[in-house]
Amino acid sequence: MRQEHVDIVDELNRLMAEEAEACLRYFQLRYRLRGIDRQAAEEFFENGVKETLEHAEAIANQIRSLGHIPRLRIELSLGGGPIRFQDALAEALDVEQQALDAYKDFLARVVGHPVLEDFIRRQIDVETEHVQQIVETVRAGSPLKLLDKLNRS
Amino acid sequence: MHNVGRIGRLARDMDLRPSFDRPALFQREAGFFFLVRDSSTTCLTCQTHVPYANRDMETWKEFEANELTHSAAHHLLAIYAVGSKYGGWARVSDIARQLDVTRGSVSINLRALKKRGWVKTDEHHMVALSPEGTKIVQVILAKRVVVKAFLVNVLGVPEPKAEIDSCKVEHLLSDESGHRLVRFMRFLSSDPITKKVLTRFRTFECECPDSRACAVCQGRCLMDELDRAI
Repeated sequence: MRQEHVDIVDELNRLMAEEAEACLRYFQLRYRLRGIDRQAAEEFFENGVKETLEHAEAIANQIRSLGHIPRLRIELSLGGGPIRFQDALAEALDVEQQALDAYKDFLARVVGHPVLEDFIRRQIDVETEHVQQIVETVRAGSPLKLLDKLNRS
Repeated sequence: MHNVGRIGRLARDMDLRPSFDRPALFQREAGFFFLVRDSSTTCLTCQTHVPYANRDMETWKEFEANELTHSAAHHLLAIYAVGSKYGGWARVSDIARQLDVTRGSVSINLRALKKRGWVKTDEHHMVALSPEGTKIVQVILAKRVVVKAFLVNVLGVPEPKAEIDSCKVEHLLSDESGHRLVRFMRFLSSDPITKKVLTRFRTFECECPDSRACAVCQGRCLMDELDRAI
């Protein structure tokens, strides 16, 4: 097996770990939320759980289509007390931004690949949109606006 | 990390908690076990006695209060290691690779380090240690080196094991103990007599008396207890 092929699968495993870890973070953040916007904010993180899991699954399928079994390596211990929506959102923004950067870095490695290039480009579009939505909500200071936008899209 | 003997394990299994009503029992906190007798507390491993009235200053609470967590220490060290190749600046992706964790995880942990003023970031999401962060890293590395040297050169612990153990305690060791350890190591290497003592120690066979009473163990055989912990 060519080294380049192994490296690509390793990188896909890392991307899958990013998504799976983000899923668990959102899952836990949901229960830490406090404040008047809690209900709407919980819905945002519920969507986050579903979407990140879908992304992890999509990457796992790509790994399988390359003839490999996905390997998931996560080291995670989530503590912390109650959190305000704005702070939770700032954490989510960090996580989404890192996922976006990871996809962008990876794109250069798969340019010309018949399937992966298209897949990674789509992921970049989705993550870019997520980051943009979160940035807008941070500026607006209300989860309701974000939910409205998510429900429309 | 402390090794826990039979009594400690018993206390852990029973999940015993302190009570002022009973004369002797065990307290379990943060993975450490203390034998609580009337008005004093004894760490089962360190043999240190702490007046019960001063419980706020107990060892385990110092560990809990240590603002430099193991994870934070490793993040600072990773930034230092990666950054040293690129003029002090490191990318989140490289830090994540160095630590074998996700970028998201690094990013979240960096928030706490930034809040404490130990790291700084630029507009390109590059990360560097602040002067305060650099100072912390230097202190950690100094402690790691001296602890490892003590474990390898004095106690004769194999190097890979010493590397792991020094990594575990590097950020927990107090500055005072670090200084004393350096002094002790210098003392050992400065005097021909101490060098002889060290050579004798390396050939010393530790045989416990049948009575299980010696100047070190004082009624309980620490060797037996440590053997059981393995």
